[in-house]
Amino acid sequence: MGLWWLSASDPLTGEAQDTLWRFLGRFHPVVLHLPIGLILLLVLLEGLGLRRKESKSAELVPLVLGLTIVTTVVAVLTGTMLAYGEGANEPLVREHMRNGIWLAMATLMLGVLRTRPSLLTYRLMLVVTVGLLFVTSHQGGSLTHGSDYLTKYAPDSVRRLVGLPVAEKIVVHRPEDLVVFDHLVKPIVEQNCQSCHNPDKMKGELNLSTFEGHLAGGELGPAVVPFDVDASELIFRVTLPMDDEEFMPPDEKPPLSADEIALLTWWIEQGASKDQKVGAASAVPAPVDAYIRRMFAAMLTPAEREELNAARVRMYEELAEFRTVYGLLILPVEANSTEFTLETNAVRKRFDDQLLAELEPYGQHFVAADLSGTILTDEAVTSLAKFSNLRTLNLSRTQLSGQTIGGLAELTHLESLNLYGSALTPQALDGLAKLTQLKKLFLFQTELESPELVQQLRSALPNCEIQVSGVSS
Amino acid sequence: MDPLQNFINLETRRQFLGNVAKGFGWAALSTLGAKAISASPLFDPATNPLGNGMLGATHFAPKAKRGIYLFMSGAPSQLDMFDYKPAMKDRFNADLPESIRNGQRLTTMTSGQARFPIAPTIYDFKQYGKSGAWVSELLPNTAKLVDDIAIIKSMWTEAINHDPAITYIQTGNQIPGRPSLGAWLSYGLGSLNDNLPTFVVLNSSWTGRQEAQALFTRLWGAGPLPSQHQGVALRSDGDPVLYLSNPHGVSSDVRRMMLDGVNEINQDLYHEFGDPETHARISQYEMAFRMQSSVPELTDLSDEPDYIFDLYGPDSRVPGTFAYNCLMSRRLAEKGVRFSQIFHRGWDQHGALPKDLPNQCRDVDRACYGLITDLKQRGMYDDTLVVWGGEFGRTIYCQGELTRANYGRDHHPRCYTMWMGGGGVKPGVVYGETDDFSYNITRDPVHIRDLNATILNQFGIDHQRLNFKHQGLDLKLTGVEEAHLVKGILA
Repeated sequence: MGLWWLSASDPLTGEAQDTLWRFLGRFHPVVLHLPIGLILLLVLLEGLGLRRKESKSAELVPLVLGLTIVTTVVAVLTGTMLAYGEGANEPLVREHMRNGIWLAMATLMLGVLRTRPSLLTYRLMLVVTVGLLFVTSHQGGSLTHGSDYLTKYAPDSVRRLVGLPVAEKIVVHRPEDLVVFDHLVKPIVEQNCQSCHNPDKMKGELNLSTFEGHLAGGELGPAVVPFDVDASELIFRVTLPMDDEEFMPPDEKPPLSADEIALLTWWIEQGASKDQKVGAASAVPAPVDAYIRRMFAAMLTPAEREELNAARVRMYEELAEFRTVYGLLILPVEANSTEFTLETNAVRKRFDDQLLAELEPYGQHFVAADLSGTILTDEAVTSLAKFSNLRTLNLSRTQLSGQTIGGLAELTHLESLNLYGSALTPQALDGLAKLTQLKKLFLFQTELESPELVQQLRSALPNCEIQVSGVSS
Repeated sequence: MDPLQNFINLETRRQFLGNVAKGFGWAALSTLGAKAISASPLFDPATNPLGNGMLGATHFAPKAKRGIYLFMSGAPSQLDMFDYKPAMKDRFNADLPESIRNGQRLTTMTSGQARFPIAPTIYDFKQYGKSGAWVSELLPNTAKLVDDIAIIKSMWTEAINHDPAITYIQTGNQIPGRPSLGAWLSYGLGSLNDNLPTFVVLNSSWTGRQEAQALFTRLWGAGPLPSQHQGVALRSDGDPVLYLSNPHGVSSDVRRMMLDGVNEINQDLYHEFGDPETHARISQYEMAFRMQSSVPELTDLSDEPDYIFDLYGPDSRVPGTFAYNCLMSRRLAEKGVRFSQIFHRGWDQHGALPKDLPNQCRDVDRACYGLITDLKQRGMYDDTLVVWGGEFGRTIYCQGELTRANYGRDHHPRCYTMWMGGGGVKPGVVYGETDDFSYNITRDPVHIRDLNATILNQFGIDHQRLNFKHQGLDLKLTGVEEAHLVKGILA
């Protein structure tokens, strides 16, 4: 039969056709909802018939079944024409088409089985048909609206139930901490572009569901060229006149707003970074700034914002205790930050391993620690390894021999380590050689200052600037 | 604080006059420490219990947490030190073209001169380092630093005489009475070590012209800011801070009992009048008590090895020299003094420049090199801002008689040279340019208020947002005129 032929042959070339097929294909959305309704009606009628033998509903079955068969076949045919005419041949389209054909065949089988005296196989077939119907129509829906259309706004509990990832709540305290791509660009692209430019549909060979996809681009080259707005196809397409053939998003979908375009443009001008934060940008134009602040405000409910603030105030109060009780100076790196620097100037002779251990619960919040001249020992490294976000660590003039110093390798963000004037012994060399993340290491006034040892260390840490005595001849 | 309470707390005139009479006795002590800021009604500890200083936290992440300002009082001659003008060699004794002077206001010291003969420098210049910066033979050690610092050749100011000019660069206004840069930093950021003053001033001896301009304490004063923010000037002989040691027969315990008694009386006084300065006083006494142990350790240089003295040069063993003060300021920085300012006088070479300037340069050259090298090897240069410079520049034309071997230079505010380093300053930069006569700026002018805004910026402060309400103004270091960050020298 024709359907067999359709499923066996491969009519989808991937090339758009300007023919009658394309015109007829566009009736697919008009027709396709009929079989959905009719099959469900069929189930309803049969169900009613089961419960009450004398029900008149059975009389309607042949008519509904007949209509089902006809509309399903028409839907399959128009669908095929649509795919052929529009030049679609992505995997999802092919699956949808194959399932559509099976669905049509299933309805035909239903027609045959209904005439048999025993209705058992008929009923089984009906169950199979309904299953196929769900799969096929869901695929169709994904094709037009994007695969996450249904679940996008599902409550977290529902998402967990169906095994979808629950979106992580953005926990930043200030707009400056927003990651430009993740928190600002991505939502715009998701909203406006991804229903077509996703890994399933890949319209124009373009996948905008990942960061890399933006740079890789599609048929026409990269969608985004860092620093070069004019070369970025994405901006070109969304800023065309709306009646232009190439205007994006197409088909009367709402165009991007002026400030959304301003934000995308600014992001590209800044180098289209994957992880740059708003605060790290050199300059934020006023309209972009206003947009960012508006978005930030919308990201959190007032209650959530309150909760965040309360949590921050709690942490500030707890940390302030360390000043009152021990005289430590803990400074937020900037207003309202949850990153801190630790200063111990006033209490160096009392700052020992135990006191450091008491700070462990807050360790990840410290980006710099000046522990110069304190009475810390090699034991301290165990605690310090928990200060996972440290970028600058000053252990100069301490009693550290360096036996355990390799433990700092866990501090992946550590850039500067100051050990000048400490009790380092040559045995520390192996440990130090593990600290490949370092950019600066200070060894002035230590036993490691000898040219051979420094040379050894330099070859182990080629990217690190090692500072010894600074006197030049 | 609610406005009514504020009003009640305002001092009466009678009370004020009474206070003044009693007040002078402890004026020296009232300059120490910053903790009393918690008594200030502007600070709300509820919102930031970690607050340190008036701002509570920096406006943005700071690049520098400490600063050392090497102030060359008297105006060093940029023409003989940094701003190389080879074209002047052939113009010896030629008249300064009117097109260059362009009606520029002159000081009364040269405005009566019949002519303005060009006095080319007699010193050799060479290019140094990767940056290729030109430095004269007077600064052989500073020359080794050119790849560590940013040289600004296009500084300028409006003031033409020393006192207004130095008051201007130090406080942002030519009229005395405004808070100084160090006081603003102390007020805004607070202390890094409660046992030491936040802002320390070190005055140096000098070997050039001895008839130098006087320095006034208001150059490191707090103006209307709470008085504890003014700079504490350490003395170079005897007790670094006067009356810091206990008198004979008074033990530390007795001193403690005395302080407890005085504090009680002061508390009563505070309840009576509600004057925040009373709280300041209490904390100053406490600070002084802590300084009795912290300062002697600080100023005892016996733990410095010989090679460190050698690094700063032989002068560094002589208390009160610029080199000694450089070494001291490194020690201060290391112990958590946020800002120290070394004043070195005698740079006012109106005449006999070839006799005096080499001495002046020798005073500071080796010490500057020592300081920066020492900061570098201790890993402190990354977060310590170092600034070098004076209040204005000097003229290309000669003041007084011009000979091949002798000349003098008058004040010149239209361009001069300063340098900065560390604390987020881009190293190896020469910024700005002047014309062939080092008379007018031809590229990238930097007003002294731009410099001050940039210094605050390196400490994490937006200069527009560090202010103090006084006499109907939001007082700022940079004043009411626009100030621009010198982005070209920032890393």
